[in-house]
Amino acid sequence: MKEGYALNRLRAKFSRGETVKYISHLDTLRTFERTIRRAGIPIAHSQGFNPRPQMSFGLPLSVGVTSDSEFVDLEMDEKIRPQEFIDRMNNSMPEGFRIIEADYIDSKGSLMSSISGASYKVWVEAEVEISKEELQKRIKAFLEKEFITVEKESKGHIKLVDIRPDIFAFEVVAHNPNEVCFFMTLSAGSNSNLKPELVIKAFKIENKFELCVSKIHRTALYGKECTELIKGEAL
Amino acid sequence: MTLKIDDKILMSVEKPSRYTGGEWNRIIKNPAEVKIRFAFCFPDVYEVGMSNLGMKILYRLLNEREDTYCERVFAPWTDMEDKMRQNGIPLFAIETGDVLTKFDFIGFTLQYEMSYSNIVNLINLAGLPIKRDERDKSHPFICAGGPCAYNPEPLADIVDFFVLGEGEEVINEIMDAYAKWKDSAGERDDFLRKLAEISGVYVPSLYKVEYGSDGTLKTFEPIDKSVPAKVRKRIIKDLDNVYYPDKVVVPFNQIVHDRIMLELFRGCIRGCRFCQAGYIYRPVREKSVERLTKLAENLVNNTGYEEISLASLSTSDYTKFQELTNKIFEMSEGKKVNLSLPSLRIDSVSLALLEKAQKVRKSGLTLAPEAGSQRLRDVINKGITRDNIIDSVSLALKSGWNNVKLYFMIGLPTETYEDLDGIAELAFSIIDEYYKIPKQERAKGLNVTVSVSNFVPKPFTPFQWEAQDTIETLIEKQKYLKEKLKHKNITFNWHEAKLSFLEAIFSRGDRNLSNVLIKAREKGCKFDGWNEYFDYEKWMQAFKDASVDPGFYANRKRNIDEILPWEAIDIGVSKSFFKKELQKALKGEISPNCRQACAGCGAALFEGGICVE
Repeated sequence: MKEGYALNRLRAKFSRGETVKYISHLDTLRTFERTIRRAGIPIAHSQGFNPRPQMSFGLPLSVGVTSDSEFVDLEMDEKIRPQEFIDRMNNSMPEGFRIIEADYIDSKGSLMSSISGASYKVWVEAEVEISKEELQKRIKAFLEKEFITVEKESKGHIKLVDIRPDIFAFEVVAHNPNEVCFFMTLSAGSNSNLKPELVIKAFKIENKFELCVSKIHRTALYGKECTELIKGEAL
Repeated sequence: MTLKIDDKILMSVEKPSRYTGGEWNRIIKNPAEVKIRFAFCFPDVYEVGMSNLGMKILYRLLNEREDTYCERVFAPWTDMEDKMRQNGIPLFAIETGDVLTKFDFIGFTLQYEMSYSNIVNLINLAGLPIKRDERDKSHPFICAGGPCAYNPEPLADIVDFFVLGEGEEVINEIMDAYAKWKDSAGERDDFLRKLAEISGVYVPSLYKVEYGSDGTLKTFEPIDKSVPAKVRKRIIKDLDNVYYPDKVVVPFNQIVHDRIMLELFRGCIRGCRFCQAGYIYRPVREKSVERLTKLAENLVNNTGYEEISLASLSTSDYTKFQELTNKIFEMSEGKKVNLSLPSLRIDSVSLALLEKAQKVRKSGLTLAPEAGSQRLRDVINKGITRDNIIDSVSLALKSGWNNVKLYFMIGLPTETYEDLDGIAELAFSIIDEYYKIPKQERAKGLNVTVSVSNFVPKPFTPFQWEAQDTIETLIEKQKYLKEKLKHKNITFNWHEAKLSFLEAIFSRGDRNLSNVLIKAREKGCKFDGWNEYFDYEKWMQAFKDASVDPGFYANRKRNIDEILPWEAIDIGVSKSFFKKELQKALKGEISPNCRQACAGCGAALFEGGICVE
């Protein structure tokens, strides 16, 4: 039993669509707990007065953000085939959430601590028209800076942070006269976590133009050394 | 369905998922394919409205009909309402996001008098005329039901019709009548006339009201002979064979009662004389253990909820309470579902049961003596003694409880300061009981919470003629108790006297109050049940503007033969019974509960439940 223990951990990748993007992290947790009960998934429970299903999520997704790359780990009481898990969950899940992939993984560490990066698509509305070439030039200059310092608010305190080391990619992927879609890969996880809004904020201060974020979509979460979180392949 | 509210607006308000729907078990239909669109409107925020059992039942029941689509509507929280008004967004239903003007019916549930300002505000936010005589064929019908509908008069100029009693059968009769009327291309009044023929439906426009020089009612009569003089409430005789949903909507965000609510029975055997619920739901009718166990299991499987609570009045009066709880424990334990027990009556506290419940959920012991002295407890017919209370609390303390909540009411008829002393005496006796237990055998740190609410006289109770204490007197009594209850083990809570005053006005008010409500909304009154929004001064200004004296409704003792605003409503329990009960109350005589002996209240005419057992 002992050796098999780690392999009782099932990791699932799921998406969160438009209709459920306003659900908070805590509410997402509850939604999963209830979906698991409806689907009859044999998940392990904690001991004590108030047994809780043994489940842990990856990086919380901010309210209003959609994603097709979220992760959750479940400690199973009884092993069921990953495909059966996917089918049963998807039959019992509110529209907008969907399990995409699942497999047993050989890992004891927490999901949260194994996350190191995330990619986003960020749509912004621009007050003035900026050409694609101009934008690309500005991004290039922006990324060439040694430091990118910006004011960050956390827990009511405002502090100055350098976000340059946390930006791995930043480019324009679509361009309309007044709407731009950026692609970004940023550090994420428990060590350092950069939100795309802060990159936009720094970028607009740097360039003195008005940009308003209209939509954020998370496209990927990465493990250490940029690996895929279920199969562990390098990305 | 697609969201129609702009993301920018939703991102700028608190808890946007209150407005976006999409929950598990919500019902999606194509509005173009139904004949009747019904907006079930709860006049408070999502978290409160979604906790209401009646809404859960009627939502599913109406949607069982192929010709009807029932959607949910809640009061937007004030941040959202501001955004909606700034951006010209009218009130909308959650399922389709459609505005309320597209609906055939808007149905409000009246759970609490202090939600009336929200009702007026919501009608306004929907872009509809507030007064019923200003609405025409292009507008939906506005109806209302629920406990406060038993005195519909404060809303009589606003609401088109009221549904009295349990809605399961009558709502289908109303929908059938509407489908016919819609095909007939008749006038608005034709439909209302048709409704008046359905038992349990009260149409205020079909009754005329005259007042005497002293402001009391002189006449209250149907406008012609085709309209019934009395409208009798509807009940379901056999609860085992009536529709009850085994699927309920599971919200994303945490609501007030975020669990399965299993309704064991309707009505209450007790007959506490201040309690309206104890009379309006008579007779007591129970569901069978088999039906309830099956329902509980289906609900767990269909919702995934982690907790079941037993929802009824005085729940432990259920005849097979032990058997039922054991069966539910059996079913729920394997599924890791908790059973939470509601506050039990002291005379039936079963410690074994409480311990079983505490195994999964540590909660305090809640008792409701309601009055401090035996004399006053007899006046209100709360059939428990001081010994009952002390014995059961002492037993609980010995078994490791250390959190006791006591509920009382002040301002009850005949109350004196000696009765208030009784409240303090009871609290201190419990503390004594605790310290009598050897230190190593009792749980550490005792907390006795004494919560005191203010008596609000309600229609259809023996105290319906009684005066409420003035605000000043209530505050005086609260201060007195606050002094008396100063102790490190006691937490003292009390209710806002001004709010109780308004409750008393609207619970026994007449048609003149519709105008006050309209004026109050214009001044910005809403969410009165929420401390931060209740604005007493605005209300008093509204009364002044409408030339209505609030004290006339709250603080005046009615003449026993006075015509009461709810005279056209018949709940089965007779007026003569209430008169008799009032006389007994004033003499401090108690009445038996329905299980001990029939007191002849009149509800036997429904031929249901305990009256025919």
